[in-house]
Amino acid sequence: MVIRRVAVLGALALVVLSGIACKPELDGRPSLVAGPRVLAVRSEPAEVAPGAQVTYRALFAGPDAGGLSWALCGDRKPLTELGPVSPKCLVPDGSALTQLGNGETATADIPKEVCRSFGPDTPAPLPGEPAGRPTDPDGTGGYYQPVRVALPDGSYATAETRLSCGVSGATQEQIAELTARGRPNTNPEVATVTAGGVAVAEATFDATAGTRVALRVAWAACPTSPVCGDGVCSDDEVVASCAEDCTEKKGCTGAERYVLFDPTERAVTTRREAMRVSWFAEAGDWDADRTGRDETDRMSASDNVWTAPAAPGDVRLWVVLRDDRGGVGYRALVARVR
Amino acid sequence: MNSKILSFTGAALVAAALFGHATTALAQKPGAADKAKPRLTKAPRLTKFVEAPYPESEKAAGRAASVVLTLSLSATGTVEDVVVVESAGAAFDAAAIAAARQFVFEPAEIDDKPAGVRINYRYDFVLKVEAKRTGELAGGIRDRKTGKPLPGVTVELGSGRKVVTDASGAFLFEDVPPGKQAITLSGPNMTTIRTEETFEAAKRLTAKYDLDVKDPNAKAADDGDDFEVVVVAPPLQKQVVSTEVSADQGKRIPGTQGDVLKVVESMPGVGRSAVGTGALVVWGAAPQDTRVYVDGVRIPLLYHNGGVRSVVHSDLVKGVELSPGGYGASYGRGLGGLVTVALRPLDGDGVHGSAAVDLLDASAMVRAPITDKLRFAIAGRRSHLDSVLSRATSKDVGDFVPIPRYEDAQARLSYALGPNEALELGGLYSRDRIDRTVTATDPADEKRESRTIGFTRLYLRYSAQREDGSSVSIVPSIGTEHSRLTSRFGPTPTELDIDATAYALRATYRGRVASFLVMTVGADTELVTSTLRRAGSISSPPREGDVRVFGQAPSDQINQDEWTTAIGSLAPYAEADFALANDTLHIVPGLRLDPYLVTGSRRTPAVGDTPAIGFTTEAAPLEPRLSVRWSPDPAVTVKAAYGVYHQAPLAEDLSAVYGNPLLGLSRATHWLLGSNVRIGETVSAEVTVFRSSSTELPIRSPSSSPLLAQALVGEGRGRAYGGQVLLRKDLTAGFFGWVSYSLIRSERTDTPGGAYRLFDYDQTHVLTALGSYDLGKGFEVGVRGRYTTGFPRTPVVGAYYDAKRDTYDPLFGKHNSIRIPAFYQFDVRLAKRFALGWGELEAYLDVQNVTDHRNPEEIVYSYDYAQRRYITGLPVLPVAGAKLSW
Repeated sequence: MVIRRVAVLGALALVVLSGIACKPELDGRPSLVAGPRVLAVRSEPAEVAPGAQVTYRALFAGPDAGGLSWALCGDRKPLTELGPVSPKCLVPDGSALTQLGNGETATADIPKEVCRSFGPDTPAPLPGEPAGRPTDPDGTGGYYQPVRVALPDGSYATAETRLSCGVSGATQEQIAELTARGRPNTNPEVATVTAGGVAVAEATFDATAGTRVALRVAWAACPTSPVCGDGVCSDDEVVASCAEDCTEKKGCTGAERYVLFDPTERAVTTRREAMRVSWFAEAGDWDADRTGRDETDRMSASDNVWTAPAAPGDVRLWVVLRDDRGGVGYRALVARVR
Repeated sequence: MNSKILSFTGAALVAAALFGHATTALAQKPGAADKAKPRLTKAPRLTKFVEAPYPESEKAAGRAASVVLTLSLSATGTVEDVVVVESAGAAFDAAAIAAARQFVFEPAEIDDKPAGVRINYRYDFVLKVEAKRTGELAGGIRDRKTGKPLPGVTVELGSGRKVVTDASGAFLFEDVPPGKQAITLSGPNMTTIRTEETFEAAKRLTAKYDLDVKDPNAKAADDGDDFEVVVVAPPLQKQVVSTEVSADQGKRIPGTQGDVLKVVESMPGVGRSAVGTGALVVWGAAPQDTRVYVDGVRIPLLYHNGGVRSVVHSDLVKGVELSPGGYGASYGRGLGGLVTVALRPLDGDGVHGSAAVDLLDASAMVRAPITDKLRFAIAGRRSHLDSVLSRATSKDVGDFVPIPRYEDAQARLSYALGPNEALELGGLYSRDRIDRTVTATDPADEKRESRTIGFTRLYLRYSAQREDGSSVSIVPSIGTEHSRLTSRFGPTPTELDIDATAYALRATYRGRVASFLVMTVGADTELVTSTLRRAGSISSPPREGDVRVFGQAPSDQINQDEWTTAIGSLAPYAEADFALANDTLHIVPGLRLDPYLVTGSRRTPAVGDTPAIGFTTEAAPLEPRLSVRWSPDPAVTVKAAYGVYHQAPLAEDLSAVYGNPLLGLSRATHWLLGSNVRIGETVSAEVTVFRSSSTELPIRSPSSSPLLAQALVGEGRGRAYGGQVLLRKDLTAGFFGWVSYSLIRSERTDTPGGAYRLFDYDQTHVLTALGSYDLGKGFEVGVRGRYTTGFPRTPVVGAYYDAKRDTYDPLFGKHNSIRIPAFYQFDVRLAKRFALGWGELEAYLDVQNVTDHRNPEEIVYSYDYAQRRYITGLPVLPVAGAKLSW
C-alpha cells in the first residue's frame, strides 16, 4: 500500500488540527471497467405519473445483458438507511419485490399508489395509528420509484424513476403554480463526442498507444428563458401562449430549466439542471472518473482526457450523461489504439 | 534582590569633575565655608533598575552575596563608571557591574542644578526560595465546653506523622504533601477522633478543633457518647467518586500544551475523543450526557473544535474535578459524568499576568487589585494557525484542510464584602469556526462544510462563609449559545442553526446542623429558550447508532423545519451528610426534585399556510441519590453510591420533521462501589466498579413508514458497566503522576426490545500512565502513555451499484461488530523555566506520539467497497511554546 501524506507545508500543525495525517491510497477506479457491470439505467420516459408504464434500459458492459434480472422495489427505505433503497429490495426475491423479467430492458407499470409509498402523499395509516410520514423529496423536488437489477454474478444495481407526484407542505397557491408551470423531466442525450477536437463518427476514433486523447461530450443547449418556437415547452409557456411548442409538450435534451418546490426554503423557484458525465473505459486511464457542470454553469459540454493503453487493439469506452433529476443518456465508443 | 544606595559620602560630588575639589566635601560639617562650596540640593534617585542574572555557578552552590559598587553618575543620570568597592567574587562582581551600568537615575542636583555625582551602591544577590510544593497544617484544639486550650493532644496525620499540642493547644505540621489526609486526634480523657483535610501546595491550612473532653469523674455510661469533633468549617464536599487535579499539576502533563483542563482526557473513566472532536466520553456515556460547570455556571462545551484547547484560560483555573457518575443531588440534568472547573480566587497580591504563544494560538491574562476590596482578572486567547499557514502556504490552504479558528475570553470582577464574603461578576466567551472544502472535477462530488459554535455567559456570584462554618452560594447567570452548521455533500445540503439563551440560578446553603450532620440544600434552576432552523437530509448530521461508513454521503432526501423550544426546570435538592462512628462512616442521602416543562412552537410539520400548533410536555421526576463512605482505617475508605438522573431532550431533537416534539425525559441509574487505599504519605490506590443503565433514549424510528413527527422515538436503552483502577502519586520531591486503567463496556439498543450492540464510543480498555518530574534548575520533564481499544464500526460485507448517482453503496454486516485497531501513543513534555526577577519565562516542547506510531483512526473503503484501509493519525508532532508570567 502506498501511503500518501497530506502534507501542506510540512506543517505538522495541519495534522494535529485535521486529526488526520495519512490517507491510504486505494486501488481501483470506477472508470475502469474490468468485468461485467451495469454502467447506467435509463427510464423511458424519464418521469412518469402513477399508473403509467415505464421501460428500463440498462447500459451493460458485459458479454450478455440477457442475464440481467429486473424487479420493482415496493418497500420504502427506513430513515436510518443512507442508500437509495430498502435493504429488503437487495435480496433475490421477497414480498417487497415485483419481478419484471430478464434482459437488457424491462417494462413496469408504476403502481397507482406510488405517491403514498415513495412520494409526498401521506401513507395510508395502519388501523388505530395516526398518519404516517410522507417521503422527503430530493434537492430537485423529486420523488422516485426504485428498481433493482440483479446481475448474473449475484450482485445488484439500483435505479430510480422520477415520479410526477406533486408536493408536500405547499400552499394552495404554490400547488397551483407548480401545476401550471411544472414540466416532466426529459432524458438528456449525448449530442456529440469529439476526440482530439475531431467529431467521433460512427462511434469510433483512432488513438496512439500511450498517448493522451482529449475528449469532449456535448449536449443540447437548452433555452434559458421561454421563447416560443424554440422547440421547448418551458415553464412559462402553455398551449394558449405557444401552441407550437406546447401542443405536445416537448422537453430539452440538455440542462433543462425547471420549476420546483424547494424543500429547504418552502418556496416555488426556478432552477437549471446540473449535468454529470461519467467516463468508462475497458483499458487506459481517464484523468477524471466524472466531470460535470453545476446549475450555474451555462456550458453545454464537458471535457476529459483519456490516456490510451500501451497495447494496441480496440478499446471500448462509454460516456454516461446524467441530469440531476434522474434523466440519463449515454453513448458507447470504440477507440482503435495503434 | 535587595539592593540600595548606601551613601553619598564617597560621592565627592561634582567634585573632581566639576570643581576640581577634593572629594570630601559632603563629609565636612557645615560651616562658614559652606557658602563657597557646592551643596547637594537633590539626591539622585534610581528610576531604572536592571536586575543582574544570578550567576548559575553560585546559584547551584546556594550562595548569596553582596557587592558594593561605586557608581559615577553623569549630569543626565546615566552611569558612567562602575568600580567594585567590596567584592563578592568574580561571578557576582561581573553580574553586578553589568547590571549597574544599565541603571538610570534621576540626576542629582548641586546648588539646584543637575550635576554628576558618585555614589556607593550595594547589590545584594539573594537566592529566591522556590515555590513550596507542600502545604502546612496549623491548628488549635480547645475544650468545647470551657473554651480552654487542650495541651497534650496527639495529632496524627494519615502518613503517621505526629505532633502533640503545646500549652496553648496549638500544633503545626510543615511540609504536608498536597491532597487529602486523614487527621487523628487522641489523648488522655478523650476518645480518638478522626477527620479529613485537604492540603494544597504552598498554602497553610488553619483548623480549629473543639472537643468534648471526658470528665474523669463522670459515669462510665457516658463514655464515648459525648465526644465529638467540631470542625469550624465542614470539609469541602466532594463527589463520592471523582478525580481532581490542581492547575499546577494539570498544566505540566504532556499532551496538554500547558492547558489545565485538557487533563480531563487523561483521567480514569474517560475515553479517548474521537479524532478531531474533543468530545468527552465518560464511563461510556454519550458526549452530550456529561455536564460541564465553571464555578457553578454550566457551559455547553469544555474544548474548542477538535479538542485542541479548552475554553477557559489556565491561569484562571484552580483545579478541575471529574465525577464520572454517582454524583450527589446538587447536580443533575445529565445522564453521564460531571466536570466541575474551580476558578482561582482573585488574590490582592499585586499585578500579575501572563502571555503565552505557541504554534496554535496566543493568550494573555492580567489580574490585579483595584482597591483593597475590588479585584479583577481578564484573559483571552485567539488561534493564529490559520493566518500563520496562509503566510506560509497558499492562501486557500484552509479550503482543503480543516483549520480550527477559535477564540475565548474571560473577565472577572470580584468585590470583598467582608473577610469571608464576596461578590463576583464574571463573563465567559468562546467561539469556534471551522471550514473545509473538498473539490472535485464533478461539482456533484464536491464537499463543503462550515461550522460555527460559540457561547457567552454572564454571571454574578455571591458567596459567603459564616463564622459557624456554614456557607452560602448564589449564582444567577445568563448566556447565549450559538451553533451553525452548513454543509453540502454533492447536491445534498445540510443546515442546522441553533440560537439559544440560557438563564440559570444555582443557590446552595451548606452548614452543620448537628455535630454529626452537615446539610446541603439548594435550588438548581435552568431555562433554555432556543430558535432553530434545520434543512437537508434527516441523516445529516449523523447520530450515534447510524450505520454508515466514514465519508459516506447522506441520503439525498431533504426537508426543512423551523421551530422554537423552551426547556425549563426548577430543581430543589437536599443532601444530608451523616458522620457516624467517630466520623469514620459518612452516609449521604440526597433527594432532587427536577420538574421539567418543555414547550415548542410546532407539533407537526409545516403544511402550507396552516398555523403551527405548539406543544407542552411536563414531567416531575424525583431523583434519589445516596452515597456512603466508610473509613475503617485512616488509610482506607470504602465507598458506594447510587443515583437516578434525568435528561431533557435536546432542542434539536424536538423538530416535527427531524425529531419528535413529544420526546420525554431520558433516565439513567448509576450504581458504583469502590475503595481508596492510602499507601504512605503520597501514594493512593483507588478501585471502582460501576454499572449504569439508561432508558427512554431518543433513537431514530426504525420503521420504514414512521408516524408523522416521529422521526425519533424515545425507546432506546443503554447500559455501561465495568471498573477503573487509579494508582496515583501526589507531588513530592518534584514528581507526580498516575496510572489509570478502565475496563468499560457500553452498549445500546436501536429498536424497542432489541438486542444490545456496542455503543459507537465504546472503548473497552483505556490505560493511561503519566508522570512529571522537576529536574531542578527550572527543568521539567513529563511523559504520558495511552492505550485504548479502537472504536467499534460496522463491517461492510458487500456493495451494490446505484445507477442514478453513479456510486456504490455498502451492504453492512452486524452493527458495530468490528473495531478500529487499538490506539497507543506516547507523549513527552520538556520545559525550562527561567527566573527573570520580576517574573518567569517558561519554554516548552510538547512532543506528541514520540514513537511515530501510525494509529489507525478511521476505516476507508475503495469506491466499490472491495478494499478496506485505515486512515492513520498523527505522526510525531512537536509543539513548541513559551509563556511569560509575572
